[in-house]
Amino acid sequence: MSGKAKRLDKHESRIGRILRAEEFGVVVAIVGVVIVAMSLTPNFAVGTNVNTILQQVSYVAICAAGMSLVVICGEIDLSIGSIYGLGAVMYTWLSVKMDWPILPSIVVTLLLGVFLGWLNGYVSVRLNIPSFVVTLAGLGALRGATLLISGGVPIYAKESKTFSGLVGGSFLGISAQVYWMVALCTIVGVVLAKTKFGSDLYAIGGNKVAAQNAGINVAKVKIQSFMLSSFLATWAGIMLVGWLGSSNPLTGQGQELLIVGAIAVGGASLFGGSGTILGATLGAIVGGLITNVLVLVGVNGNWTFVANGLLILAAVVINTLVAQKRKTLRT
Amino acid sequence: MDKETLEESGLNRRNLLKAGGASAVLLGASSVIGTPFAAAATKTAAIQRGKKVTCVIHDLNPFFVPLERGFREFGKSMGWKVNYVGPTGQDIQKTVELQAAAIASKPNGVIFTRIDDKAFDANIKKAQSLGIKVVLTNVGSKGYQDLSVPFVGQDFVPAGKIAGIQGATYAKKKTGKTSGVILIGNFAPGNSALEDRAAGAKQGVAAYNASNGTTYTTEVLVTSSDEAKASAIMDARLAKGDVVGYIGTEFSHQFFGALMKRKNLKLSNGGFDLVQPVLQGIKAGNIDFTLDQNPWAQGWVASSLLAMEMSPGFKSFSYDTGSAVIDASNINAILKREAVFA
Repeated sequence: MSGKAKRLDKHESRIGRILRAEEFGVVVAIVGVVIVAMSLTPNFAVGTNVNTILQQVSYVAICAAGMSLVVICGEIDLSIGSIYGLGAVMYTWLSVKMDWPILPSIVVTLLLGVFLGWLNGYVSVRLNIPSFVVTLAGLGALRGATLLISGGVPIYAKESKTFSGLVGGSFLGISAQVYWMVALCTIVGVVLAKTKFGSDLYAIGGNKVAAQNAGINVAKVKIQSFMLSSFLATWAGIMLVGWLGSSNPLTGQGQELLIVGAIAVGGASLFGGSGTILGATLGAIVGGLITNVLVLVGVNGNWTFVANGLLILAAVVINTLVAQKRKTLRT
Repeated sequence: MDKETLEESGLNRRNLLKAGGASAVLLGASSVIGTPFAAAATKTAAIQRGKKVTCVIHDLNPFFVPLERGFREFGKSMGWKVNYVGPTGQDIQKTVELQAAAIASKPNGVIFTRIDDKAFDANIKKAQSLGIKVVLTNVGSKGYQDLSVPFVGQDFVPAGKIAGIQGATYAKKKTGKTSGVILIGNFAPGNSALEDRAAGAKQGVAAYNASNGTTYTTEVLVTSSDEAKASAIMDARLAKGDVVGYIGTEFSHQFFGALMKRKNLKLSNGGFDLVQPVLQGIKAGNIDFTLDQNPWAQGWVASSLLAMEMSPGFKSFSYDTGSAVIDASNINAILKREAVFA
């Protein structure tokens, strides 16, 4: 093969890799939304607005990063929005109503989150009950627990400039939540891509029996994925309190749909075996972008729901087509 | 702002109406005379034209339809570019996000609902720091006065008290019993407006007991804005047989009315707001009363105050949209008035 042909082949394979990437659909969606937004409103591509969008999507993105682990191994956690809300309320309840110092309140709340993840995973995996059902029960039960703990009313957070600054402040003009999102999503992304735990998740999601035969402790890995997911959702709930200054018993209601939407838009298969943290993060960003752009442009608010629905559908269609193309190329 | 503060400042509804009337007379006269008044009015209208105003509410439910209408109608009359947004289902985080997006669009003014004592303050302060005029509507929540923003809406605890007295009065009248439980329905626990109304309703029932020798007790019932769910909860609670009445802190009394009709019960039933099913329920006799808070004014008056702040630039003030009791005696007139929102 001549040097020119080699270069062309290399170039084509690079383009092929991009086209076949799991994040291709969501990247196309983001580029499309950004182009439309920039042509419609000059207020879109302003630093403060970009920061606002990233700040707002950070909570969904952090939860989506954790939930991706669960989805990749072929499970789902519908209680994640309730865990997120319980995290916010439990933290304020401990620190305000029980008058605990902030740090122990955070630690105990996080431990509770990890325990709830373990419980979801254990009941689902050990008792062989579909996680869809187990976590659907958790969604309702934990929402009720949140209402009971809070007495149905908001709890106003203990004043702490350090805590608020760490999770809700800003540095170099960028909100703290954005740093947390980047840091946590990067860590989870590295864990998924570079560790045995990560490859085990893909193996289990791709073919559970084959994974078992290969010596992977399927139950243990699945339970760990639930625990990590709950940990991140609980932390996101605690972060929310630092930003808003209060926890509301209805926090996180419907959040599970945004999170599942972000993961699906990001290119993951809800049947397991595929998906990336980058894709889920971009999926969260595209959802936030649409809401922001429609408000900036002044479109009737009800279109936000239509646009978000269509976006999820479009991204999933693109992802499916890409997956089919990938399969054809392999065979 | 409570009524006393409103009255101390001389900025109560009556005074505003007087001021509004005076302005109308002035404008009317100016159109006839064609003097500097007319020129000033034209100039003001020209200044308002093209201004961008966004209204962010906390829940896109039927109650807000008249508010939206009032907001849009005023905006249209001024030639504003208006935008009206909110989440489905009461969602504080989403509301905060929509407010932030609204501020990022660099409007001249914003109208926000504030259903939490703290969560919205950063956005309000940010808008003010950017020179964006802010008016709160529907729900102000504790501490809004510290933000130097006007509030257009109901004073919730006193309104709840009126509802409590009404509920107890009808309980006695319809059941003949002097004891029993009056349920206080709340389909959105955590909403400070509804919690305040519930607190007021308890006070109202207690006040009625003290004056009439009855011993009604109150019990908060967490319901739902979904009729099927709400009915199931109410039905389950009715099974105990001790309930003499229901007071919705929102419009859930429409669900209780429908349930009473199905079960052929004669209990006291009332609540808040003027959505069409509630008005039809009063007409049909399933609902005894409802308290109006004039959501149309919460859109229209909030917009007009915002307009005044934007140009000529007068400092705005709070406005109590009241708590008028709607019952069988005035339902026909109200139905006629509200038909435009149906």
